[in-house]
Amino acid sequence: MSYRALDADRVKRPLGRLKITPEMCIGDELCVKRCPVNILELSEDTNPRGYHYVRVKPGRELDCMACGICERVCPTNAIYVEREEEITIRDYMAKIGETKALQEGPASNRVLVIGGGIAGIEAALALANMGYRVTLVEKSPAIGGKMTMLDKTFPTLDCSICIEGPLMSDTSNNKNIEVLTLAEVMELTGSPGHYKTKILIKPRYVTDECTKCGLCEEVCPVVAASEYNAGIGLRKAIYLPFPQAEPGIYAIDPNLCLNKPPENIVCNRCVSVCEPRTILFTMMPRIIERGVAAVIVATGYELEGTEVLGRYGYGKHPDVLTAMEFERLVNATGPSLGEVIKLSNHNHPRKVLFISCIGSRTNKANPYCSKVCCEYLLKQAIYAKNHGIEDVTILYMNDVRTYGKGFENLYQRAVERGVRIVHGRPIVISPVNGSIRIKYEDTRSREVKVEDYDMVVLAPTIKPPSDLRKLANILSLELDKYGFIKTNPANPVETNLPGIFAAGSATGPTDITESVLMGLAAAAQAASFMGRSTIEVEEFSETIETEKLGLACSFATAGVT
Amino acid sequence: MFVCHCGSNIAGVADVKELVRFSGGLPGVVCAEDIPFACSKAGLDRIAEVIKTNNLNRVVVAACSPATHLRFFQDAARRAGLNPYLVEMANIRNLDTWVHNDKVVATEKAKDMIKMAVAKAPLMRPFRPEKLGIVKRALIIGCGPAGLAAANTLANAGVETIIVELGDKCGGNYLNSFMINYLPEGARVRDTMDRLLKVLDNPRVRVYYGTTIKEVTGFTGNFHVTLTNGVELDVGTIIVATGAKPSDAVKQVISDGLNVMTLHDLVSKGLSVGNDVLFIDLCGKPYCQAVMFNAALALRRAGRNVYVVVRDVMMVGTQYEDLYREVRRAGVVILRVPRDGDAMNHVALNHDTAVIRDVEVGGEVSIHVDSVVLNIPMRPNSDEVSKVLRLSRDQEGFLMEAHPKLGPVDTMTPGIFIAGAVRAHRGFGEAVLEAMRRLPGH
Repeated sequence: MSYRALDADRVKRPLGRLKITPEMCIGDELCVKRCPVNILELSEDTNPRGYHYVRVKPGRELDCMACGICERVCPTNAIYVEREEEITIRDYMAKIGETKALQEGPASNRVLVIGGGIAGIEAALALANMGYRVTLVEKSPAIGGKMTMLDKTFPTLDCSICIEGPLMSDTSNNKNIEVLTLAEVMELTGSPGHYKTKILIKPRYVTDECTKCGLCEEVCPVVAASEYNAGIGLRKAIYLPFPQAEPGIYAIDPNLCLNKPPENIVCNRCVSVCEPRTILFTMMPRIIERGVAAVIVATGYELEGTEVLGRYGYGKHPDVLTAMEFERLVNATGPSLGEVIKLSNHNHPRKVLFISCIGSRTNKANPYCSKVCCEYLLKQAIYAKNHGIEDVTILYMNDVRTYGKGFENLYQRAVERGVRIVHGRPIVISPVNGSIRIKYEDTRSREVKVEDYDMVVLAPTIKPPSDLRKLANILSLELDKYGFIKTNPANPVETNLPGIFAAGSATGPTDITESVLMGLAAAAQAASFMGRSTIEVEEFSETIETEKLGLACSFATAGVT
Repeated sequence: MFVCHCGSNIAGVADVKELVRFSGGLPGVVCAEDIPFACSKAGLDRIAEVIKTNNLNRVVVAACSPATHLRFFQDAARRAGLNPYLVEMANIRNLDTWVHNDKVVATEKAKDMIKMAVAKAPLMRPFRPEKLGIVKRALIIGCGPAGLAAANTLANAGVETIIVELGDKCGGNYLNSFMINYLPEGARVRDTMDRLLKVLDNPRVRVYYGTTIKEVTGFTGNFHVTLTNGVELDVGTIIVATGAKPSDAVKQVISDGLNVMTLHDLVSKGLSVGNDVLFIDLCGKPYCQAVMFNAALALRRAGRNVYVVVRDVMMVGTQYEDLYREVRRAGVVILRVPRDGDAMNHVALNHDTAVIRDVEVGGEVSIHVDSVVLNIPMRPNSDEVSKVLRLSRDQEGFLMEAHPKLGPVDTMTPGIFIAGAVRAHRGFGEAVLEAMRRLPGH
């Protein structure tokens, strides 16, 4: 039904009112199955005769078109239609409370971006630079996503935070982008161009005036595992997620904090040391509303949990790590300040084994391929070599998928650096005398080998975020059989709904390059739903501000001078 | 004068406290401090604050590369009311602490670099930005799916778009209905293609067939382009989507009496292959392998014996794993050859026999073959265009992007973008994705 039809006053539709006698219904579902507008259902309770009786789906009463099929198929005359006079579409809309949509006029010039990882950031910046407004909703206290946790990016081994940090700061400073952290989308109604969304913002308990002095963190008595350090570092209940976090203000984890606001304030150590008085336990959750023209879902991914990793010794031996933990271990801002040490005794490991496909491409866990692991294991093996570890081995369970531009070079580079590559399947992993005993079948030499390693790094499957299904229900998005957002393979950001786009790993495992491309593509396609009259493009489209482009535009400046 | 720690990137090697003390004593320096992360919001705010309170007329930041970070410090200066062109950077991270391990050496070198920057600072002159008109017209080179997708986005945004296409029709290979059966996206390619082709009816879009670019002058936002048909154009941006074609490597593969063909010919022309078919994968990319396995599966289902020689099955992600499993279930034999060098090094063809060095069997496998299908890599059509536009290329001939992660469709020349198979091995969906990039500022 088009809400913007010009002939809504002329075109009419029939209207029927369904009359149902529950006592007479025998629950044969004949009418339910035949209803062309699918507004009938069987009740949960039963009528006096013990049948689930037919009823109209709540809220769908006015959808009846008075076709009369139900009354014709009903063997017991339990249902019939009272035909009302045909009414115009405008009147019909008014009846169902959609009058507002009809009169709304031009579409919104705002886009809702869900997820503040690299895909969401790229989409938000692209739209903001086109002159549109963006509401960026991020679940955690800071934007940046998983990319901030990486030490380097493959295949060029660029420093990850160094290239993402500036984009995060651009996003947070851009006047067209409203960044909402600790926020969740609760509701989305309306149609493309005219969505209404409700967003829940959880209290941060720290105001924007925070100066990041860190005194609160020092006095906070509660210590917990740091998410940013993948669980191998510590943080307090009041914490800055990571040094370059945007927004750069502290947040209080209400689950850990000893104070249980609003009524129970027992600790309050942080409040007493905060000089600018930025800690407020009186903050309450807020629900805000925004009118948006389109939605971009970029919720990212989660990694396979301990249950599957446990089969490979994770959790049984402290030196069995996940790849993300290893990433934090080599990182200069990580818990070991960039030194590769064993969690068990803080010594340097001498033999390190990396294992691919933990939970991926197997019927026992996830049947699909996680796409990036083959490549990042090569990267991490090179890290290990650069950190002076002599014996570095990668155990590939399946193929070595160096599929992208320049990836094969990284493979060659790893081999040249002396990284040993074996193919096989580990059978038993058990701790022996402080080191980890690996028994694996080498599928190339077809021998069973037993080797001891000081450290084992596992590459877990990339999985859809656990709350993606909830979000998909809110947005009516279709998911694929693995739980990722289903997209059109011939246009990978297009979902089952026009006006809602997906980007990044929410659609399936993607690397950073692809996430960036999808973010940009989703932004470009979302722009076609925007209200034209409200686009503020004049400032941007007609002139090129050489100053704004700075050095990047030196070519242009040279042409002038 | 500000010295950045950059976490332990700088502070972990050089002695930052010593650098601050040293720079404080340099001529003309009124204020020297260190900042944990100068590019963070707190760092930039601090810089702006110091500029304001001390009424500074020059700023030197000893941190990282000006190519990536100068603009942030310039922004901070602008906010504080200082002309942004009076900010100088000393790259003591990339050029010093990243390459030296020794604390003393690194600190001494950083001192020299800071001294040079401080000496240069007084010589800097304030600039004023000049506004230049930007031509609101785009040129797209190539009319395949990437070019069409770009045209769609631009036309929807109200930008006049000119497409030059060397061939005589738009759509590239994707109009071949026989071939569509083998594409991993299946029939959805046709839907998307139909939708994309509608853009040609848009009055804002003009296509020149049998044409390409001859010469380009001008600069970002104001390019002057001469086409091979003599037409001269002023355009604001250029999108290169010239695509790729199968390389002619196949000619070098010798065969006496064997029926050797390329996968491209097989799927677009439907050649007869006999009963025993050997596919040899020389491409090794997800998309071409998906097409190859689709073809292999179709032949296997038609009752042929199908063998596929690969180095590794590269079909990554969630979408192709089902195809791989189906191929295995259908009984297509997959033979893996060693990773070193070309797959052809490990296959010997002799009359009707192929001998393959299989890593999983651990020796040579000999099979009877009637025909050999080569999955040859695509070669980007970048020879001409890279010369005219002065774009750099990698060893395989693909155009180089500005940054492999964050600037995948930008080039080193702002205003010139690259998309589709001319950038990297790309499939249909991926090509469409890349092309959805817009004019700067649109």
